Amino acid sequence: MSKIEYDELVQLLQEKKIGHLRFVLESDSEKDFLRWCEEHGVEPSDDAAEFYLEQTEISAMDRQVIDDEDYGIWN
Amino acid sequence: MTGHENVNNDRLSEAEAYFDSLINPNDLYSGDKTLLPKDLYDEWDNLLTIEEDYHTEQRYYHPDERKEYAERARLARVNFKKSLDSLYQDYISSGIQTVSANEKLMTKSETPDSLTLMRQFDEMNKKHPDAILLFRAKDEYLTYRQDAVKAKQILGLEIESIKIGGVKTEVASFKHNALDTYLPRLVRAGMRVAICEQLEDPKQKKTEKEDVGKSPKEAPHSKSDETQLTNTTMPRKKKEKAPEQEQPKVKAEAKTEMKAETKAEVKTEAKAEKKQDVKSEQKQETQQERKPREPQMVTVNGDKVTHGHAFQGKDSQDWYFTARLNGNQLKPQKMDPADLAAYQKKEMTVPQLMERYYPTKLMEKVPEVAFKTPNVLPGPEGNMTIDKFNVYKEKDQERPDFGKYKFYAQIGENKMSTVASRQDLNAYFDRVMTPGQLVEKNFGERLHLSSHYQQFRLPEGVENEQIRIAKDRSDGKWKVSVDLGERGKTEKKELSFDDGYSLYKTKTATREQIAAKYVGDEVKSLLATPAMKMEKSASMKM
Repeated sequence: MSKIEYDELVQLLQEKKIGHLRFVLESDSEKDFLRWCEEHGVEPSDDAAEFYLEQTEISAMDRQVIDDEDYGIWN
Repeated sequence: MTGHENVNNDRLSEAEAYFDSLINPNDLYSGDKTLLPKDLYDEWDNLLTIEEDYHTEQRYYHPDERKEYAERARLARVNFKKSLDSLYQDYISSGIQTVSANEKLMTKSETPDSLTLMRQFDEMNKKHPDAILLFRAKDEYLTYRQDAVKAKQILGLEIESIKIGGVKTEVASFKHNALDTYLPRLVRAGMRVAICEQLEDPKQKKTEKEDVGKSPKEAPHSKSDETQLTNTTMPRKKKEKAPEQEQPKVKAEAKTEMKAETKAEVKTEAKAEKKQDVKSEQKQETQQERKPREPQMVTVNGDKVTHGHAFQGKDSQDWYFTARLNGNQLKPQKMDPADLAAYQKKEMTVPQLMERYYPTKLMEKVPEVAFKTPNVLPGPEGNMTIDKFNVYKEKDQERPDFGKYKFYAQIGENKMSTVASRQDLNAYFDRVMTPGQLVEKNFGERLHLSSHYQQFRLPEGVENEQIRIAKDRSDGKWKVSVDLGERGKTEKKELSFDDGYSLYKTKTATREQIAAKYVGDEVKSLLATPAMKMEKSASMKM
């Protein structure tokens, strides 16, 4: 089954047509999430997915900013 | 000029240096990566690391992990290409480019003595039939015939068919500064590679600095060879710049011809030259300022930290710090203005910012097994097993803690939850605290654990008799206070049910611990205040 595009996933999640678990499992983070669940001894669930996203997901705005060539760098 | 404009100018100047170094004008990837702006150089560096990890250590990985690494490498390559494209677009739209890559390719001279190199190639090829031979000539590496075909297949180089000594010969070439990029690719493709450099003859070096000799092994070959190679100098970057600097002038002339105005032509030329001078200075400055890169930050867990930087939110005044851990972007953290100022002045480094904004990413992880085997805690009535521990977000809108992340623990029939602190959530997510430790910290009071109360201690000098825990007659509630005599009394603080239970029922808490938990800070300030008064009066007497 082909993966749904990220923007579409965000929209589906916002419209509450899918839950956090489906969102993560359909995204590029699927494997990382499942690994996280395994490491933490928890079953993949909507609560776990929501927390995982809270800890890792870069909001659309941040995504845009980080990809922007104009962001300041001094490092 | 704003800080952003400065950053942009530096970037474009560095972009120019990079795009000037392109070997293949149709391949933005073929330039000297060390000339890239810092962020792109880091991205490339990271890409190399990922690719190296994948190629050199893949045999140790589980097949699933191998796939992951391959995907990570693919994504890194795609992202790097995207970044390069974006940089190229900025560079083109800025209008500062001095010469198009195509023009450069047109002016690129043929190798001065292909025949000599071909002879050497044939000799070396006999000695090393299984190796790809790369011949250094001027600022390029050349490879011929079947090696050129292999190079085309592996590196995607374009092959030219030229006549050498009347024989049609396939030649592939790339600039010398791309060797670091292409050599690993050839090796990874399973090729043996022999690099034939032309070494300087120490005798000639003294008298004719520009002459290049041959390697000691090749030197006795023929005098004529040596003579023919006399002019095959290896130009340094500064020398390469000389012809390039002419290019914008030509371009500017072409523009002014279209206008057909002599005055304007002179002006434009002058402007172009001036602009070029400034750019050359900028380029030199940029190259001079390029400091040796700091060693890569690696956490105690072996995770590689890259791309640590600050950025400003698109539609806000807030600044954020972010970095990548093993190539994965970390969630940006809002920066404290003081930290931002310190970072801008280079008083705060990326490792320090990592320590401040991602402390749990740097801490040592607890073994996975600690999460998989039942966590046992010493309880007031024997050991307690944590049957379940997880995190959830409160969904009940009626509750005051609606929308907050909470820890949930199930210990036997005891099911409980509490709002979790950001620190503990991060510690849980990054696996630097076990469920046992988190339960002890967050549910210690509810479970009446003696370990919970061990963290509370009264300052020295407070006697047990000075602690008062009693039922308040006015409201019937149990309260704790400390009477320090002349130094004063603390407020009476109401005890929670669980603390009262721990004190009187399970006896896992002492009076001192309960007093320290509720009025410890007040006791400390009371003990400090009279001492200061005494010092003052003593000094006044003197």
